[in-house]
Amino acid sequence: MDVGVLSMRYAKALIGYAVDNHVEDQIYEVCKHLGASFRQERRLRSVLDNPILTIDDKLKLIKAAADSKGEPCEEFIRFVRLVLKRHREGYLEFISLMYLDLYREKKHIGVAKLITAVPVGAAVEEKIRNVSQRALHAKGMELEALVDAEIEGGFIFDVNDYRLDASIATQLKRIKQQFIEKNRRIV
Amino acid sequence: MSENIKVSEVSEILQQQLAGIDTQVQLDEVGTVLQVSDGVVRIYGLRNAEANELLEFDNGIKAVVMNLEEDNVGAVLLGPTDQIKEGFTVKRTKRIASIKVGESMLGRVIDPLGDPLDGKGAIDSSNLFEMPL
Repeated sequence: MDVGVLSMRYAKALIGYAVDNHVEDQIYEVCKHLGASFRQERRLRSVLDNPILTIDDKLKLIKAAADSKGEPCEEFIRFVRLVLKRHREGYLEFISLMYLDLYREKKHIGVAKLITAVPVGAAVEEKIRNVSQRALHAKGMELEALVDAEIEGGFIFDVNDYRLDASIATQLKRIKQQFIEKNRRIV
Repeated sequence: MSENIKVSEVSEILQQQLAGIDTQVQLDEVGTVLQVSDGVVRIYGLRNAEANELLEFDNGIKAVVMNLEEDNVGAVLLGPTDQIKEGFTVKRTKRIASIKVGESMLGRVIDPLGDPLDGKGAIDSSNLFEMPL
């Protein structure tokens, strides 16, 4: 099944439509929220695929998942109605992710995530944001700083599709794996 | 038994084992698992993945890229499906799935990637050649 081809066509159509109606920024926020909803609630995709639900029920669900502050913009709702009419609601997660990529490519926005074992200060975050923005030649940088004690120490830095993993937990895992490969025994 | 083990020997063996361990930080290309079902995983990202390339999850399970699309790849898992969840991160290994073959493989028990499972130590790779899976 050509999930990528199908989703890209819908995403390109959506961004073209959004730009024509000057709502690309609003739809960007909506798609971000929709993507987060799909990640947090894994049953959402299977519920949307359920043929028992009516189009109106699915539309209500998507509206709720897409925006926590109220109704998404009318252009997005029209787009979702088209997707539902064509029975492509199962691809909505992919479409929203592709829209985000297309928008960021258009606006030269980079995306980064910094995971540390303890919180870092705002000054450090700002410094990392500026350095990565310069390195990527981006006009904007979205940096998300997360704290995860499971990495034990060090940091994990995700920028666009790349990961720089300097966490203690990963280094310990790699040492263990190399021990196993050296000795072919589970330690 | 414990009386024969000397601390200095243990630390010497540990030092030997630790010598040559690679701890350099690497820059990996990563993707996110979007969908898992029936041994097949759909991964978002990994735009530069190649067909039949090996991918590796954080828990060590590997997968082989089978389907390349514009912004996602489909891969077949080489491990238990229930240990992979949506949202997991997966990285490229930049190795095409292949298996080493040769005389020294005879009589050995191996996994799908050619790693020995029989506890008889590493397979002598001096006369082996790689065959793609």
